Amino acid sequence: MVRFDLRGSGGNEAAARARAFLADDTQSDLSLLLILDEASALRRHRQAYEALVSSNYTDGMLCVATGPIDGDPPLLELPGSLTQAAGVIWVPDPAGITWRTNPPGPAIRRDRRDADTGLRLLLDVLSQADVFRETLRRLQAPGLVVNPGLRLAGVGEGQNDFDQALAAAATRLLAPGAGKAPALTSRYEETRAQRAAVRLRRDGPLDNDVAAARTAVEEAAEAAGDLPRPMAMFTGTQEARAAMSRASERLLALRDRLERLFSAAHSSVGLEPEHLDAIEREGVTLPSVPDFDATETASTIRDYIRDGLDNRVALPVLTEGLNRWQRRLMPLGSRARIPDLRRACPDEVITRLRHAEPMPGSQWWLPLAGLTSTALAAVGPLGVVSGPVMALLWTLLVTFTLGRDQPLARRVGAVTGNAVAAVAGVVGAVAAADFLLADPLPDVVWAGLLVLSLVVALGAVLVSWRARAQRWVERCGLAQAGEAVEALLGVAGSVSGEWARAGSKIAAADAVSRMSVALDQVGVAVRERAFRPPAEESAAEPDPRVTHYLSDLVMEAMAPRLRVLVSGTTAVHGEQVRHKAAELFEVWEDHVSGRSPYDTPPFGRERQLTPERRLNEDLPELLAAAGADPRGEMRQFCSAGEIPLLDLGAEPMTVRFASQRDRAALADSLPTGVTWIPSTQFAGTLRLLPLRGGVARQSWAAEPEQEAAR
Amino acid sequence: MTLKQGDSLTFFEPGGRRTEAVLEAAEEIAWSGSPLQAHRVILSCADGTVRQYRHLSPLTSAHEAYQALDNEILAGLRMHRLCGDRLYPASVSRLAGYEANGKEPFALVEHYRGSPIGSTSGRIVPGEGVRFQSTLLTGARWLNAAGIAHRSISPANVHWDGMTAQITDFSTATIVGAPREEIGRPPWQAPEQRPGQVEGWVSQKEDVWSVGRLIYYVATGRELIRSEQAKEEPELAHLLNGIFGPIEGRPTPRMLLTRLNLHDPVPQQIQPDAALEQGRADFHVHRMRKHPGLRTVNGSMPRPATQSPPPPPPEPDTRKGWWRR
Repeated sequence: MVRFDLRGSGGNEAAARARAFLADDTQSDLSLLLILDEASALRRHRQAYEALVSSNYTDGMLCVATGPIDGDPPLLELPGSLTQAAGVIWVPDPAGITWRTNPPGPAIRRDRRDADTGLRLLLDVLSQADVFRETLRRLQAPGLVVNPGLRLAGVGEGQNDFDQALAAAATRLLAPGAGKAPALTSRYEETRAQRAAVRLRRDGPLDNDVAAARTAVEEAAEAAGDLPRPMAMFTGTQEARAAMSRASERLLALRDRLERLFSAAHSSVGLEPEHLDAIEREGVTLPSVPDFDATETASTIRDYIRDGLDNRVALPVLTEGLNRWQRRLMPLGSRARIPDLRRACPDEVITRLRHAEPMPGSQWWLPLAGLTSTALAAVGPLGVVSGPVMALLWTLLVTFTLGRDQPLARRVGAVTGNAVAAVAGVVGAVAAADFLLADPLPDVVWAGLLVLSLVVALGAVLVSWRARAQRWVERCGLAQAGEAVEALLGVAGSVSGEWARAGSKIAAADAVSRMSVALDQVGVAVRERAFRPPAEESAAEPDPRVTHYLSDLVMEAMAPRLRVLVSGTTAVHGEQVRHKAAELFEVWEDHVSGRSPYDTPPFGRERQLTPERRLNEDLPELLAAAGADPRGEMRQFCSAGEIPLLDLGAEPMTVRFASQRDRAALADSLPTGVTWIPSTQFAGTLRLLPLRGGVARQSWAAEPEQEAAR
Repeated sequence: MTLKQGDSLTFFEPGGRRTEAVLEAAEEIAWSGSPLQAHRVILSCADGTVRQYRHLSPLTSAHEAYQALDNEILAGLRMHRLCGDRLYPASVSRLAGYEANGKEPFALVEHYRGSPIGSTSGRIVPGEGVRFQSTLLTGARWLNAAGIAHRSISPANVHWDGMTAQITDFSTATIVGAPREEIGRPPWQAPEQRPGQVEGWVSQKEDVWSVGRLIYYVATGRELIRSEQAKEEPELAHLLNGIFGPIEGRPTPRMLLTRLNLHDPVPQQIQPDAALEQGRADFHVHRMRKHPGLRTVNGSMPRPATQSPPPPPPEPDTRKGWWRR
């Protein structure tokens, strides 16, 4: 299919051009010829058409004649050679009107800026060979001149359509709370796995305090370990108490030193020299951590915004995500971790060590042991002597061992109770012996009972002491003290990591803050340029293509900011990004004014769509365009003034066309007679309205200039 | 006032010298809500230099517009009187020239630093937060020392350039000791400036409320709705302690700088001129005569020249010594 443009030519010039065109060997196949000419010059170009018609090169010719016609009444004069051999399509106004033929509706002017685009699209459609042939077949009647109407999928109302599509996309992009922001992490945020032990300079103040605390706790544990031994019954808990008191002092000293250090080195905006001096004085060695990496941070933010936009997350949500990340990155300062020290080493642990409770009281069974012991001693022939002696021994044993570290009242009670039990044992044993034993016990037996009595007494006291000592040690919380030292060091390790990372974190927070403000200001620019109140657009669903390109605009506007995210005030970044966004909107509008609103703008990425997704997104539009009602509203290439020249009583001729690729999906839903074309760019309905009789007139006469040339 | 290229502007420098400059270019600056109009002007000065200034003139012929210009000029002159040429703080915008009595009065101010804090909704880079606080309080301290109360400190007229906060727009400023009046806009308006609560005299603590609110706003990104919110921010609680209570217990800018461990930026040897105090009292009498409508809500009048205005409350002595109680 070849195009030949005769516009702007005089009569002789047109003829010469036609002859040259036919003589051009590079144009191999002229069987289908689409001629573009001016309506007012058709008669003057008679010779050119004669040459083309008589050339034998062409099999089918369509002539698209543009521009208004003169005369009262208006008259379109056509050379007879043209009308006999070609179909003529008159386009008085390439911008056209939006118009419904039946029932006749008002003519709605279209954007004049869209004229070139409209004519170009009409010519592109007619340039599809199958559409060309089908149109030519409709125009077979000699002298028939038609005015075209076009409903094309993917092409709306020009600038208005673009504005509406942009507004719908902007509404979606700015909707608060729409979508969920992608996750954001950075290597500047410490993870649990990364927490390292605090590194202390050997013999530094903190290291000494840690060693002292550990030593004191170990000594206290050792003293506590000695307590259940037999000799400890007589010495009591004094030594263990002293050791525990020393341990509590050391523990408190360690915690206090850490608290003072956390206060002295506190900063929420990165460490100053005085903070580092304070850390150094205490002998803490900061771990080495990665420096702030601007490139990595920029890449993280870029990917975050891109992922969010691709997943239809709104700008306010993305901005808030950046703000949250900034807050996480902001160092809290070590003073904020002092409560962690208190949790690691609660006051209760220190108090329990320092002020250990009295020893638990003696067990309930102890007096029974005493009773048994004295009874065994009182059974023999000298029981009235050995019994009381044993009772006295028992009482003294209880007094000087188990009675220690007791409140006076408890001690008196314990001793009294045991003494009474011992006496009762003696009395009972003597009485029982008198009553039950006819003969005195043999000496061996009596000696054995005496020994047993001693064993029972000593064994009972020992068992009681051990149990009580162990219970006392547990109540002092010595185990928790050991854990507290390590817990304090754990907090110190975490904080030293925070100190080391403070510089990187604050630099990252600063960078994120700049980009957050920049992204927010992109939203301001979008709102200024494209946003309309939701009520007007509630029925408008964002076009996926415009939505995609709007996302590309956001990325393009942010790109220069991401390159300089380490410096500049937020105000400068905001101002610069607004200017950039405004520039990009201008570029986009310029691009659209000469093309379809859905064309890829210069800053846009080509959409990578699967065939299924493309079809699913485009199918409704394809069906609406290719199955349009020929009497319904579509673009008619004339002005309202030319409507009376059209024959509205005749049935409009229709050429429906769609891509062969979509035939399977569309065929059942469309009327019969669709022209399936190889191109995937076009689908729609071409409406051909004939002119009324008398508007077009064939002429076989030559122009006066040509008469003069003869 | 219309400005055309080639116009000759005659004006006084703050030091009192009269000079002339030729207008090379002028560009209007959008300034919503102000009774003054502003232009960015480039002047060829008499000394051969070409300088850029902000040209302020009354937007209308209304009394408020002229009063606003007066306030701008008077504040600039007081600052110049205090600081001279060498010590002028970057935290306060600077008057470069003025013409107060001509048919078209105007003021020339050195171009403001950076952008208004409000242009980014108070968002600044977090690492600059402490610097913002310290330079803002420095500016407030200098105003204190000059006896000026700004009375409208807000994100719209505090500028930030990444290094220094600058207090600008003195169209609502007055001098310490003047009768209080309803002024300012919520939420930056201190309680004693609000309708129904105005009484007494302007004090050194007049701007502390709005400075505190601005510090909170920039640090947190949130408006201060309840005074307890300040206590909930660990980094701000100490600095802002007492600001949002009654004015009597409010700290002064110098005390706030101490809380940031900063020295007083105003050198000891700079003291307000004693003549200013008498002149201030005279000024108020003349002003009330000139603007009879200017009264406080309770109808009180300023004291006449024979009676000096109440002295500002003394700064609490923070020095410690055995003789101090």
